[in-house]
Amino acid sequence: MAPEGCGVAAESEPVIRKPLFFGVIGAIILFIIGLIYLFASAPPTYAAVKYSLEDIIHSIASLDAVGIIGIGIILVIATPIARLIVAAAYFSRCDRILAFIPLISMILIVAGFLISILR
Amino acid sequence: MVVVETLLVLLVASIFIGIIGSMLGIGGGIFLIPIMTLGLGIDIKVAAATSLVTIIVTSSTSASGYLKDGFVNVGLGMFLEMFTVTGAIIGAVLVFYLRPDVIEAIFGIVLVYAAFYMRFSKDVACKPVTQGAAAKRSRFTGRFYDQCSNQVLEYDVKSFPKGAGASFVAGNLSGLIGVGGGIVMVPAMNLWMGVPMKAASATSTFILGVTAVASALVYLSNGLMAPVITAVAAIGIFIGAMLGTRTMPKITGGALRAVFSITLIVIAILMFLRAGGLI
Repeated sequence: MAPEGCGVAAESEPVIRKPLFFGVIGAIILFIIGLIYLFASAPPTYAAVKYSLEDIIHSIASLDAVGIIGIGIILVIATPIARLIVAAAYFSRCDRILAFIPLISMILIVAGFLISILR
Repeated sequence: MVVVETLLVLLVASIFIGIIGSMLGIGGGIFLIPIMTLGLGIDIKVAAATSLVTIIVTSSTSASGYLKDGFVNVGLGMFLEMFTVTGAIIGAVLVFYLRPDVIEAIFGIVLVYAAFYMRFSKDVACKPVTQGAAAKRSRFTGRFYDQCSNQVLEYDVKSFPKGAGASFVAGNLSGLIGVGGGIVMVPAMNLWMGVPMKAASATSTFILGVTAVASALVYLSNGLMAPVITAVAAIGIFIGAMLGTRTMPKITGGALRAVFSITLIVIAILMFLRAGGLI
């Protein structure tokens, strides 16, 4: 049995909600800025131009329009990961099993990413 | 189609998908991928990568609202995430070894399944599943305020092995074809695990984001991300998800399900034709 007020997680909901809310708002703002910058400078000739992770990192370093959008994409992807970290930190105070579960998901995500890079 | 036209079509389509996805508790990839591949001629792997990012946007936007309303079963969601993430990684790796027509055929089968589920499944009545006392509550016990009955409902979760298996399959579909997996997660939680429909949809939305992250990172590291269309689709999905969350209480579930299932069947037929090289 979980400690009262922790397993049911009523108190955790506002805490876990914050990274989701602020992460998605921040990313959308970056997407809008990036698209305005893109069409004001050098509009693309083909919509579905593919970028590798290295291309996006180079764009971010030069802070061009695709770089700003790239930061937005990374922020979108980081948002649920931030939620996992916040959940693990929150539940570590009251329920070790619920704190351990998001850490396992994080390890799996990192392992999958590393496998895809090294493959 | 010129770039501006393509992006405008994608933006408008994404807004509608965001509305529908947020109202039905699914990621929206099931609609976005066919529109991108069949309507805009975008490669299915790029469409899947874009879809995964928009699923995270739908999930973060909708789950944020559902957490505020107390519908999400946080403990159950985090437990099932372990299995969806595992399935998603395996699916995202397998996608590089499968032909696009095979992926489209699999997607068509998923759409037919989803259509029949939406058409013939019944909503769970608004009543408490169990009236559990505080002493019997486990870390997976869910509780939320239900407007239909104007009372706080509490339910216990059952059949964890079945739920874990369904989560693995949902994650696998997510990695393989870029959908969220909500069409598998919601019925599995509702029919097998005893989670009321509203909580199942909300918890599924909560899970979708983490599942999609696992696949999105694999697609990103393999150079399949198209930033411009991803940004446009994400903005549209965000606007749609915000509108959908406010619109849903005003529409009857039956009418919405009927339209949804017919739409899925039409898209599934198009996908099968494309997989067979007929269009």
